[in-house]
Amino acid sequence: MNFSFDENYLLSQLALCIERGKLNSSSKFPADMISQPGVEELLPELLSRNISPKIILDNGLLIGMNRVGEKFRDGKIFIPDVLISAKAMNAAMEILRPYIVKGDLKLKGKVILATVKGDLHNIGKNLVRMVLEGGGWEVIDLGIDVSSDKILDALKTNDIKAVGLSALLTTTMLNMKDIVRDIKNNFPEIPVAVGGAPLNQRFADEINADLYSPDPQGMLDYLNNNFSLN
Amino acid sequence: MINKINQYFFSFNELNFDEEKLIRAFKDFSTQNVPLLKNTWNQLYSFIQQNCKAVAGYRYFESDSISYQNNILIIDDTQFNLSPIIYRDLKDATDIILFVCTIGNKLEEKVQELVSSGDTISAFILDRIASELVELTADLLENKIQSELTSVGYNLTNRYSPGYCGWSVSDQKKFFSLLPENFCGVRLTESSLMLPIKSVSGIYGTAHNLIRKDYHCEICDDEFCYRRKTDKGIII
Repeated sequence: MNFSFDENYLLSQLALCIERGKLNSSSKFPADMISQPGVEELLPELLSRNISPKIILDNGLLIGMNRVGEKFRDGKIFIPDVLISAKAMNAAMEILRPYIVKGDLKLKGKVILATVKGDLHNIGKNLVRMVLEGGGWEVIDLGIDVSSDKILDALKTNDIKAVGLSALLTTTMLNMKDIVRDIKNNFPEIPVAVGGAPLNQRFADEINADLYSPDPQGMLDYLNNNFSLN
Repeated sequence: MINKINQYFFSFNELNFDEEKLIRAFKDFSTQNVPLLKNTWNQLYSFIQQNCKAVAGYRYFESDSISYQNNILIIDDTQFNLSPIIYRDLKDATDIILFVCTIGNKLEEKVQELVSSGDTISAFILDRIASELVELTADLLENKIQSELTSVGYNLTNRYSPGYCGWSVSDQKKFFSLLPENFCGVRLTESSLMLPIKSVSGIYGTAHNLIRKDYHCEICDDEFCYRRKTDKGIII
């Protein structure tokens, strides 16, 4: 599809706003974009010009998020800046929500996230949730202290692409082993990602997890690389 | 020479957490986004000031309660299977101190509230500030203990916590069994999680004229440990 120069410019500005986490014209950050329009102005403007939500998602929002991923992998930015971009992306997805509800715009797929049984730490899982949602994935967040049964129930009733498990203690990370085993026994095709402060690749291998990532971007990259867009 | 068991309450001001420490704690924020950090700090400041309830306490064990054998520290018949990293630092200590610190549960509750309202960035910032505050509480306690010990020529080793430097967090149960119940308002869940979550427990060795060594991060394989130091001695 061809766009006018203005629309191409608006899409590239939208990508930049996602990349830099520019929410709206009143945002005080990033400091070098003060008073410039942000996601909350540019996206409605594009919609008002009859640019389809799918074009906006693919040619603006996801381009911005992909740049964020590249900069993170290159060590040019760190988790806080990824979250700030993800927040702008979440705001954009909120504006697009009516189109998702109507079925005019499809997300990449559903993912389950849970902090494992015995563990009450929430913040790491929520950071992963924010980044995945910012990357165009739908997250079913089962919360904290989650057992196998709850995850298996969610797998039975939803079309799930992957499960992500979090733990912050060396005692609770051991519970991941049983949960991964139960998922693999019942849903062998579902990949399981694990993360959390005490984990490492060796432990992930021992419990047959498909992915260990020390950061949310790693899980987003894994999902994007392994599952094609709808 | 030092109380066998002691407890301190610190005000928020005593923790001395200022904007300079805030910026240092968030050095992974890009410069262009520091206004967001400062804005969030300003919005949360009065809540943090009013609700950070720092409490710290310790129990002191003299040499007659302690013995060592092959990476095992024994205190009053309770055995701790320390990692080689910790054991080689503690084994020259004649006396042992077990400590607990917390800042209470109000900040953690606020983090959950922010998460529920969808403000994950403020939640992330407050969570990290809360972690800094509990570490500062531990630093203040360390200063208190060291100043009491200095008068008799004793020095502290580094502090070590269950779950770090190869010491299993499952030893928390044995650790807490040596402290009064609900010491400093901290208790353990079945999975050895401390409640309130923003709490720190740990151990020091102490001895007359002891020379404090560096942490031995270079021989530890936990590459994402938050206390890990670079070859320049800076915590990354």
